[in-house]
Amino acid sequence: MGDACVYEELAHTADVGMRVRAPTPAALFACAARSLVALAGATPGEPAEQRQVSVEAVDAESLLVEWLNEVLYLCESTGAVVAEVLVTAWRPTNIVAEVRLAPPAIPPRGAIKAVTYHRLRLAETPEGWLAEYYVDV
Amino acid sequence: MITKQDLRLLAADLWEIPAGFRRDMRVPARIYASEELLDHALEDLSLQQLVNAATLPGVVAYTLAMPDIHQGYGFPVGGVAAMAVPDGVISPGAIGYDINCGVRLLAADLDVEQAAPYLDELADTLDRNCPSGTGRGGRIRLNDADLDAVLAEGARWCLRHDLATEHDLAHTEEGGCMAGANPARVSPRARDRARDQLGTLGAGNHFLEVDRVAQVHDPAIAAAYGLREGQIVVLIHCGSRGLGHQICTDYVRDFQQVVQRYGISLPDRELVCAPLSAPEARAYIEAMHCAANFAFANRQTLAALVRESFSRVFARRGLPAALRQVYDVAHNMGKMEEHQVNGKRMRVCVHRKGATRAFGPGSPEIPADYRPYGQPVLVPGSMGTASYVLAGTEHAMAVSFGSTCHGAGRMLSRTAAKRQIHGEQLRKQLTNQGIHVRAGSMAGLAEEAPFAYKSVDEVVAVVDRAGLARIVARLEPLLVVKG
Repeated sequence: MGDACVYEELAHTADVGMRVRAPTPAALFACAARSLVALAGATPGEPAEQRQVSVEAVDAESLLVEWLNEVLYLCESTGAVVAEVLVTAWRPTNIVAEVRLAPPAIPPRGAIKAVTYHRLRLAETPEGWLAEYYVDV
Repeated sequence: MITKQDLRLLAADLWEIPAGFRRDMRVPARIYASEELLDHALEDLSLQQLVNAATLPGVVAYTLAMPDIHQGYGFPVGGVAAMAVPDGVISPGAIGYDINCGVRLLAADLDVEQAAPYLDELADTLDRNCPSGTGRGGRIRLNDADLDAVLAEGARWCLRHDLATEHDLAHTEEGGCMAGANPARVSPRARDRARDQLGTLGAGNHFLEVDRVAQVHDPAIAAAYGLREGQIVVLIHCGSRGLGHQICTDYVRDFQQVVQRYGISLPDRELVCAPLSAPEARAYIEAMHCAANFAFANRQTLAALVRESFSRVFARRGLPAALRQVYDVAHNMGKMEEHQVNGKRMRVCVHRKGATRAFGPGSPEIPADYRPYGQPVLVPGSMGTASYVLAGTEHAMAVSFGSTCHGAGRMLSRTAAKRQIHGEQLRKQLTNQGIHVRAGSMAGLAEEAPFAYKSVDEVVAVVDRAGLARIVARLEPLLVVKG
């Protein structure tokens, strides 16, 4: 699988989800952030600003939700789009990452209200790590 | 997977999943639906979520699904559950991320023939004046003091800033202000998201619509609500924006630990909750009321912008431009109310997520001029079909905690809708139907295609037959503004 970050949309009657695959948990979380930007329909321009982000949660699944909600908040509060993510430390209850933000080349086409716990999945599979999450739009 | 064999028919359009269906159910789950709508509900996780809600501590009587039900997160959209006070729980996920998402109806003293030549200009003016879509802030930037005041006072804040009238407030659910809102319970992050969002529609299924009253079904009630055939009316559908989303996010996160603290086990983490007697529940309720107040103020501010737009287009031509507020309803809320449960009057916390309060005639919560007729219920359909004005009933008070449906209800995913039609193609179709469309995003427009929704006619026919509300008038769209 190498450094591959693979994601695909999951259907939901009212909203939408993502299935994300990557070789390691750290790569999975970085890939999930990219999938969230794709879900919003946004494309980043040239990276302009870097932020260090640290998130804690009670367990690994909650950490994924909290991490993605943090990405969502960063984008909404700055009007920027996440362009690159480098996860510098990952444990099941804590993530530290360098996030590069860019003005949107293509702005989000729709608002994502929140990342939810609905059918949330985080698992190690024979092919690598897999996550599934759904957002409220 | 729940199948039709798991349900029993209690009466016409009323089905039940008995409490014995799953060992952890505390009460049965009831569904108001025709055969066709029930088949739609069985296609996704709606009924499983309704059964999951029936396991919540303190739930009384039964959980309820309205005919527009579809799967949500933890709790279905179109779901109602009442929890005993103080022994039950409150669940932020069972109220929803868009706290006090709701609908406002304004009525003009203008007929469709008078307005028709100017609808294109009106569409442009409304689109310019009423910000919609992502990343588009409003005209008002709230400082800390004003934000606190909006969170505490709701639409009353608008009255002090010439954005509302006393009539508007009297004709808004809760008078446009939930008591007991405490801005100190709102996180800095939620406050940040609110600062420039007052008076904005947002995106998704939110919209602003100019309709004509196509058909009056109940002339007496329509007259009391000030509605007549051929009349121009405005529907505004939106909620508490980023503030409400963040408050729900914050408390769903915090309650993950709260359920462990109180030893509550749940079938779905999105249903996390707190005992109503616990300080954590009080904190959420006080924050949720802040979001509700922001939503009331948001729809009120948008109403002021719509009035300004009508004035700009019609007043200068000597046409009547005034817009009288018919009513404003919430359809994502948790409310402390008194209801008859198993023959006993009791205080309950009614969770309505994608469901509308529908109090019957005589209820003191209804404005005096509507009290003999029941509370107006506003049911937006999909673009290009129809919306309805209904009236609450005594029967709803007896069987559904004074609740009814909230819309048409989705049946097709956004992904599937986009696969079937392009936004530009849909815009042309709607234009050919005589509907003026202004949309910020063509992909967003395609996601909201009418065929992605159930028939609103069928949904309201069910609630009418079941006595959960009475059909008063049918509205048809002339103009739609979307994010």
